[in-house]
Amino acid sequence: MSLKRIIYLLLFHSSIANAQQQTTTPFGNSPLKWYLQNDSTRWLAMHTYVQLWARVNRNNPGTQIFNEVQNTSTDISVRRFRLALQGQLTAKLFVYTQLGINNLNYLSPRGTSVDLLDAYAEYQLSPALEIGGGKTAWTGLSRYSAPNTSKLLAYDLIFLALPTDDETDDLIRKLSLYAKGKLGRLDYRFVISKPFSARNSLDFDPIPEENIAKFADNPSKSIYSGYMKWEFKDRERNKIAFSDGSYLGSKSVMNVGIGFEAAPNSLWNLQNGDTIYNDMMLWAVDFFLDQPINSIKNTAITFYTAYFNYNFGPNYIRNIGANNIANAVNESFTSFNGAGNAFPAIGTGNSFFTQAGYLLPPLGSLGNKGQLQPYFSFQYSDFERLNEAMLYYDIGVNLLFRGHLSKLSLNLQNRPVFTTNQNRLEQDNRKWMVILQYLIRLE
Amino acid sequence: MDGDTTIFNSPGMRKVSIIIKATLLFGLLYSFSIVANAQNAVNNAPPLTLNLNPEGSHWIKFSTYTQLWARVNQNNPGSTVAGELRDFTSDVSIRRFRLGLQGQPIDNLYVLFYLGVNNLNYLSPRGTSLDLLDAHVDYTFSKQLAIGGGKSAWDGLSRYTSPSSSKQLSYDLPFVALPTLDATDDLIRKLSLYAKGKIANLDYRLVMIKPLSVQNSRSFRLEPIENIAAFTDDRVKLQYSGYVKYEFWEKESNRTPYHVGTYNGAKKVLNLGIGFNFQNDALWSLNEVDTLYHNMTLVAIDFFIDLPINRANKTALTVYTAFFSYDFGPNYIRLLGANNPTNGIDPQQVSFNGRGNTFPVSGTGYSGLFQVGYQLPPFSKGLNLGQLQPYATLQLANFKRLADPMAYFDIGMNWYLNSHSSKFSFNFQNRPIFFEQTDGIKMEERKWLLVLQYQFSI
Repeated sequence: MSLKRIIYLLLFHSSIANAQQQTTTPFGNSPLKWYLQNDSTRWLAMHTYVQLWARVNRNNPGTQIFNEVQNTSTDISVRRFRLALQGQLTAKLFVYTQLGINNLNYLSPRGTSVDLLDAYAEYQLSPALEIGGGKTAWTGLSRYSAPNTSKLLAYDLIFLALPTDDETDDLIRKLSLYAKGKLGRLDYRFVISKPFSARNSLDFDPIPEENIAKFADNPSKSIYSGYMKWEFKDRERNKIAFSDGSYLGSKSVMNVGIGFEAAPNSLWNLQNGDTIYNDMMLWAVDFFLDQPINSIKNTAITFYTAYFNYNFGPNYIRNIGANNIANAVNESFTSFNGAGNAFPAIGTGNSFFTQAGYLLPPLGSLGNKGQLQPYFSFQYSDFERLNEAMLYYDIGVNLLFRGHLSKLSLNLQNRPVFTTNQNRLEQDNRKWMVILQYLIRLE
Repeated sequence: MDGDTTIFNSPGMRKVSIIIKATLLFGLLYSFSIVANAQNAVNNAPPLTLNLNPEGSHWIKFSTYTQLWARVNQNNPGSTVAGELRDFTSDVSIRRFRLGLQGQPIDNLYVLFYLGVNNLNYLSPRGTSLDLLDAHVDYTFSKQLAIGGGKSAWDGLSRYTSPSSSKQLSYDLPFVALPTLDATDDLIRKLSLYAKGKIANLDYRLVMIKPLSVQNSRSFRLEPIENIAAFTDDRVKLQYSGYVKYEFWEKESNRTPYHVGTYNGAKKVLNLGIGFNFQNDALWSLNEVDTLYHNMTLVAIDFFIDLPINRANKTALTVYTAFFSYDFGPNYIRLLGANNPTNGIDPQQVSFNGRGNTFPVSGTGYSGLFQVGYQLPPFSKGLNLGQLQPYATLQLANFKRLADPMAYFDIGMNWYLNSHSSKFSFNFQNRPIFFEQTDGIKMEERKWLLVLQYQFSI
């Protein structure tokens, strides 16, 4: 049998009944889902999506693009690309594999490989208990610690909810064993992860610093995390790890959640010259509301708020510059933030995060021109390392042509720039970033 | 090859050994093709297209192709492999592998993803990852205007600046048409926004590009060189390119950026095109103590004809000719050895070309490119043995850097077992070798490269 024939059979042959009768996607198409052996409990499904960014960034002070100091930078980039295959191989056995790449921008090396992000399998003992393992984004702590990046309310993730991003994980994925399930209105997940070696992280510092905790390359420790939420209204699916940002009026959801993440002795610092190890102890509570307002006009309100209590050890802080537009700073002019669009998003201390969006009625006289969804996000953090509070906010609007499958987002982000002033880390000024994102997803 | 026994060490015997190996490789590739072709004959499975709505106007489509090379190269002077001088290198490699997914989820919205790898040869590192080559989306507002963006091969300048590498007339690309290859792009793909469309017989594309960092390019040099321009990241500016062609006869598809090299007699095309590529301060050089910045200003005009001669016999004539006027700044030159089969050079014997199969393909100056092919009638109507298409390519260039003109040519033959889906190409390439002499960089000798390519696509 030829390769072509096999591929054809796999994808399209009648023995894998194409689910024409199934509900259609927001594109009005049949989904990329194929039942195996005419058995609706067994299926394969694929999805792929890409997020393209056009961006103008007011750079952090001293930002250099190669040899030139630039105050403002403009670029075009691929924020994310994904290609995934999921399969319900038997009524109980589910597998998920996903290839992908993030942050393919003008600074990327030639040859940007597509990496294996997810590869895991899970077995359903009962709806109350499913167990699985592999490389996966299943994790605890908070709702958006496992975010559905193609179905967010805002243009991008909540970095605060991803405290180990790139430190001990790979694009938020970890090598884990997990248990999850639904007990009545309680939805839970518990995860034991083998952390990726911090030595391979971009942020790794082989020498501990006095009174400032950093991730240590301290193998053989596990990360434990868990999250549970009480679902007051409609239940959410827990088939995949990722939580949706907004159901766009299709669901009425109200959840209260609580979670933690702990890793013993995973950070280090010097205390009067002695190396000491710190436990990472993080916990969070959150509240999510997605409420249709007018079912005829398909309007809806989405609201999310969370409190994060993080202890990574003394003065731990993390500057994040997603898809950073710059890779160097001039040391004489630099701020605490570092290059490009980075700012302190994660650290030891207390943080609040709030996000809200409102889905407006469909545009156009026939209601077929898409829907606007203005939103805002803000994070207020009292980090131990900083002598002043950190406040950043996003204001944006989604133009949902076809739900989350084809949408344009315009986002204005305002972030603080911190500098050292007489041994105090204080906010010196604020900078803007404007992003126009287009997302297309086939599923 | 390191496995040679002693009798193969004399130059004569080495040639014999190369011929034996080439014959074996041809046999192997031919047996692949028999299998592939037989399957195509018995199995008229539709292309890997999946309709997403009953009307079939919404769809996704998978595709893949592979180009396999068996090659004998007469190496440039001083070329070494693992430290040992090699006059000849024979090898087997994967020139290109692609895995594509394209789709139209709604009317007028088009998305294309390609994963791929080039030049997987015996010198490649273990573990050659598949890269994301293309990821772009466009929306067609009208026939006259579509707007898109992402990482794509949409580019201006000339017809084969966005070539369909799986539907070429020749065995490989005309590299003179790819002036920023690896300098500011990634296997000709760029991060860009583009507009395209067709206004009556005029087909246009305009592209605004964020150039990829030159520092990540293999040819990057940290310091400017006296009176020789090189790409720099010192002043990062946007790059602009455009191409318009007038289609006298049948219209070509502009759904994807890729220009087809020959339609195998299925289409009657006559185009006249003109294009440009421009980037402010893209290059630098040194003028005694001053660093000078140079604009990249490239223009091209070209002419393409694909003329079916006898529809019944599927005979066709293909002619492409282009003129390129390139200004990269003083004495810029680009040496290129595609899928280079060697990895070192003896500094005592080195030529201006460098190692392996490298030669100067583009640079500040003028180039003419001429390509012609003729598709012959099928061997025999009963036997289904495919069709032959002899072709020839010639590039004549007058580069500022060189004292002599640069002329290289390809003579080859395509054997289509199933159009471009299953074809062999047998190509002889003859390239000039330049040496730096007291009165300039002059051609001293010429070398051959023999490539047997088998390409299949699904």
